Amino acid sequence: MEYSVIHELVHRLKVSHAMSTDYVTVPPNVAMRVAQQRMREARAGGMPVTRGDEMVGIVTTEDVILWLDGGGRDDLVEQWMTRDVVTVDRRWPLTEAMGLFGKTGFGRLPVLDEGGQLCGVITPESILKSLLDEVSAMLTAKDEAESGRATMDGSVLRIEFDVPARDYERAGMASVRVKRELAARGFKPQLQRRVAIATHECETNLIIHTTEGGRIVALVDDGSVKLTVSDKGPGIEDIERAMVPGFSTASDFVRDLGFGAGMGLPNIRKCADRFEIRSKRGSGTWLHLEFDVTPGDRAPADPPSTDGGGEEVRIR
Amino acid sequence: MTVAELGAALGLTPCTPVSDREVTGAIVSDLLSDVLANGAPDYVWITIQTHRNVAAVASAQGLAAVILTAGRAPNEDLVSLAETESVTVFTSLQPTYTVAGLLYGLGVR
Repeated sequence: MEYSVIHELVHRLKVSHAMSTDYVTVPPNVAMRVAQQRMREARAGGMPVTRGDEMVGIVTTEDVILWLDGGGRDDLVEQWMTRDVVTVDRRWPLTEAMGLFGKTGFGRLPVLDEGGQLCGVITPESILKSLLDEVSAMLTAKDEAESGRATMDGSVLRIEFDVPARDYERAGMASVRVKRELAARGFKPQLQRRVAIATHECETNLIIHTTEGGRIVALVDDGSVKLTVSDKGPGIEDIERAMVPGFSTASDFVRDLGFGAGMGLPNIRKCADRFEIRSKRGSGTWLHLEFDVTPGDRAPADPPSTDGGGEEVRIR
Repeated sequence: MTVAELGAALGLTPCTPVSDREVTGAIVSDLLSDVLANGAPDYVWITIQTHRNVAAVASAQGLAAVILTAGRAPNEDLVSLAETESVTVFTSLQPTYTVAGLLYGLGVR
């Protein structure tokens, strides 16, 4: 992860992203012993001192140590707490809070809301956690953009890809993923191959020909594999002509990369058991493919399903 | 003939781990859709294309190996995808015509 990503994050994320709202407080008019006990139970290095909704100070381990040093008498929290509290606003960018930690050397800072009310506590640890969570979410999003999202809807596997236009390097990512998922579910190579070839041609079409890219949705269950491919344009002028092998509208640049042979749609039709296409110049194209799964297309699942969920594994 | 035997016989340079898959035939093409239409599982594909889609096409088609000819080097992401998809990628300094001829002479028909 580059430094600039973290740099951008600490400016973009607000204190409210990183603060903990699960914190302990103590009233000012109770014994220091109570504060000491609460801090130990919560494993907190300090806590805000509150009277009702109002924060009146903060008490830390350092105060507890000084109090113990002085004999640990029956003093009240208000006798030891710091009244002049450094706070942060929950709307501030994280970088502001980080600067304050550096400047003050404190291990925690109370967070106030727009009305000046205590609403959380921020620590270097909570900042680190929020940054790690954010980076991990960014990586997941990147991963999904690369290789799609797979989810289970009952017994149906749904794999979705958003395919951007003109990202030639990315062609093939959907087909590789679909093939992998089919292999993992025990589908035989012959069916994997038909579906992967059709998927590759579909994503190539989205990349080369569409204005804004498009979407591929694959639905996989025991009996069939269905692919639905849709985009928002520019649409196909003459579908019959587009179905003729060798007919292509691709540019020379695209052909130099090996695309645009004019075999995409014919290849797709050849691979699928059912093929339906709708398109209109000026609007989008919609393509629906179905691949029948015969008992011979599946090997026993690995490991065999034992949950009794009604999935019958057929071996032939 | 296996992929490993073929690589040794033609003096090819491997870019990914060399498999022992049995080769069933070959296809010469620089058009991806052509390979998707006319290739077959366990074929060897001879091409001058070097981008990542080569590995994706080889994976979809179930090809055993790809030979990049005329001294062309594969893109890095082609190599990594080919490796995860278990497709052997070779390079050759010789042009496509020569590699195809030698392969034919070795009995890959």
